[in-house]
Amino acid sequence: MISKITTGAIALSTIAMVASAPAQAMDFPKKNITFLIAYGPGGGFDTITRKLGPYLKKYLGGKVNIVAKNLPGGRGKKAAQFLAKRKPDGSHILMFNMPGHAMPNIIGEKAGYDVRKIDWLGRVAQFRYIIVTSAKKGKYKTIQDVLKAKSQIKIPITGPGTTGYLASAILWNALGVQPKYITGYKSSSRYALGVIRGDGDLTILAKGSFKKYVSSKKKKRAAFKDLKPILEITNGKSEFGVPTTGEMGQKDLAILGGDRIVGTTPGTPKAIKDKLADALYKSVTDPEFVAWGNKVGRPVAPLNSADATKLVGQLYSYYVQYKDILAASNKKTR
Amino acid sequence: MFEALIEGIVNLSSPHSLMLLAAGSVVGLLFGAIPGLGGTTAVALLIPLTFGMEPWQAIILMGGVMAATSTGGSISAILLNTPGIAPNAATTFDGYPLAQQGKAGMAIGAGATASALGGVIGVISLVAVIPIMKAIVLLFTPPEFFMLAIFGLCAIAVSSGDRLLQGLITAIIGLMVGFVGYYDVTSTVRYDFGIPLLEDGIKLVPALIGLFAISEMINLAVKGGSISESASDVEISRISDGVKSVFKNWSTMVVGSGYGTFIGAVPGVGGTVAAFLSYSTQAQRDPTPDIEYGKGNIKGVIAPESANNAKDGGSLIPTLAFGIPGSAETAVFLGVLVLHGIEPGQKLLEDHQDLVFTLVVALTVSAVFATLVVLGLAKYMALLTRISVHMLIPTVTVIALVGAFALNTEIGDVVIAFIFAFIGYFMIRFNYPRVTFTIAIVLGSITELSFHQSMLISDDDMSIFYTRGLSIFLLFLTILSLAFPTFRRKMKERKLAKEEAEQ
Repeated sequence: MISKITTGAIALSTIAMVASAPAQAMDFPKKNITFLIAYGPGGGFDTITRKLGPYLKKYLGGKVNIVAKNLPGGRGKKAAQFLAKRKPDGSHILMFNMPGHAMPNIIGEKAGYDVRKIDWLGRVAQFRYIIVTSAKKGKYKTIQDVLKAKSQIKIPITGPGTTGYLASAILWNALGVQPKYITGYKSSSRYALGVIRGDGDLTILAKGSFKKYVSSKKKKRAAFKDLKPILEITNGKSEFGVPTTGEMGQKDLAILGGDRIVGTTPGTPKAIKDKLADALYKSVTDPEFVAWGNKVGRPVAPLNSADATKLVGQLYSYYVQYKDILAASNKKTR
Repeated sequence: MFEALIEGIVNLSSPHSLMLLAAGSVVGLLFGAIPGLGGTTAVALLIPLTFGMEPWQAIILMGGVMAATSTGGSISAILLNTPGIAPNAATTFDGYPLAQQGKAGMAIGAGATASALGGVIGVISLVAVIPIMKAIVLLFTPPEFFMLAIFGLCAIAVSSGDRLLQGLITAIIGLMVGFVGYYDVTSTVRYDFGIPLLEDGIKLVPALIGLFAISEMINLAVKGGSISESASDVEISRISDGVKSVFKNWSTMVVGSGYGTFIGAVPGVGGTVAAFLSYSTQAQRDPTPDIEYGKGNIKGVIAPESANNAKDGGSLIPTLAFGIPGSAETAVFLGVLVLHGIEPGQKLLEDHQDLVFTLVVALTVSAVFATLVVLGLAKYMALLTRISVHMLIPTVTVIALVGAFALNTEIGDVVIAFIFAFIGYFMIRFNYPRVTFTIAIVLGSITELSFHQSMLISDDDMSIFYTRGLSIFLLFLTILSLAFPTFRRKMKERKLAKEEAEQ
């Protein structure tokens, strides 16, 4: 008798659980959703998150607001920790900066979150790199000059552990060049300016940023026009007519870059996650949003939840191979 | 260029635009005056409101905010010894003593007038340098940043006058405070003792709130009375005296505005350094003042206030030329431009000159408008200094602590404010200069970062600091600033001796 009751109860609760999943999705969202920003106001992440908010609202039914909230600190870690500690109810989402956000996990630092456990909703944008020098002040005019250089190459860059630094460290290690990093620049636009001023010889730059800098119509005033690409990190044909890492036999390097992937608290019910992921995909592919991205030089690169989850796995496996280089890079810079 | 300027004026001349500008200006004044909030928060909060606007309308609203915050910030600096925003910290040194002497109206009048004129000079400079913006920004490389920081540190050391030893001690402690937290060159966290709050360094605004506002409330609680020590029958509204004093000391205002524009244009230095440098240079230029600096000299209000408003124009130079923000506020402003589909940088200067000039006109008009509002209300604001401590202390302490919390909604910042409140109180009590402490905190990280980068660039060759044109010039200015007060004193002594001998 007891076992019958137990079996009945289990059956009922199972039915209730299965039935409640769509119910949760039907209900969701009932409260405002906080779209966390891991960096301060004004930067790229801030801008794209705020722009995305109204589209997400529209595709989630328009009843609740998407509230953008800056939570800067610990180079982005603070917001990820905050997200990881929320109740898994889809009320908080965050646009992660990959691979930057994965680095503490990869080198075994205490992070307070694990990118392998985050519930990924989809990718919004991505960027890939080129190597640039100054047309006027640069000592090395081609990548061959760099590879044959007798003196040490100097590279102005942000600090060790940042996405640009990591990509540089892996790239130059693969090409057998041991450069000296002039670190401490706050952003890529500042270290690009450093190359123009002659602080160092060359640097790594997102293709989108480069195109944005040089797309100006009039020649005389464009300061960044002085930047000249010498190597493109791709397996395809170069957009700029320069040698590529693929041509140099370094096919693996094509993964180097940055991905802006939105995630929510680990353990979020599938129905809620799916609804959020669906709204995100629709937002990112909304023609108006796509047009905005193209206009401001930040083209979208949509990926759905499953593909984004797969990508995070691939990025993790790739960068973990370089764990030692990445961990040591902190000690190399004085 | 003139067509663009006219278009800018036309954009601003409709009633709707003027309303937007006035609204921005009032918000800027309020956010500036409430410690901890500041222009960056105001601009960030107003972003959603601009979604439905045309880009030029958003620019007018934001221009209104940006030009008015430091004028608002001067009010709390003068009346409550609390800089509304960090660049107003230097205004407290003479503004608050003036308020204590019952001359709050005069100080507010002078501060607001200097702000308006400084703002206008800054904007005119911006327009003048648009064609040569690139050259100016490219002049500053790490060695030049380092020499500029050293110049600032020396100037401030000299301005501590007869308290040189105390000045040096507090400067060293200030530098150490500035070194706490994440360091960009090595990407490592230092002196954080495992406390997460310290990982990003000690934030300036909560520290300043503690150091100036709450410490002063502790001091008042110990002393009793009200802020204004003078008898209550003293006429409180000497606003016109303040306005006149700016025109009387026009060279102080012009030099201050020059500092603001020049330093504002250097990315990463900002209004706080500009205001401090302007203040300390003023103190050096005037070694035998009628009223000692730090004890209520009106020039000590004019110098920093003209500088921190002029920097609004200056900080837009790197923002517009390169898309690199010259200050935190302009960083958020950049975000606003991008949200409206305008990419800052060269393209903006070339393709959207009308928008640039709309901003220029909005900044100018808002600086003047904010000043008129302040001058109109100064009489009533100054009454604050007459309020009894029993009312004032809890009110100011609560506002200050809420301000410290509101910045990042971080309870740890409130703890920082408290700790700095006690440091500040002991500094008042034992006569250690808070000016030196603050400037050392601000300049500490710039000094270290630019020194380290210079050494990386030059492979540890120190000659990098004295083999480049601009760094030699800055070195020369530093030596001059160290020697000038002694030189002036010696000349004066010699003159006196000569006069005595003649008699």
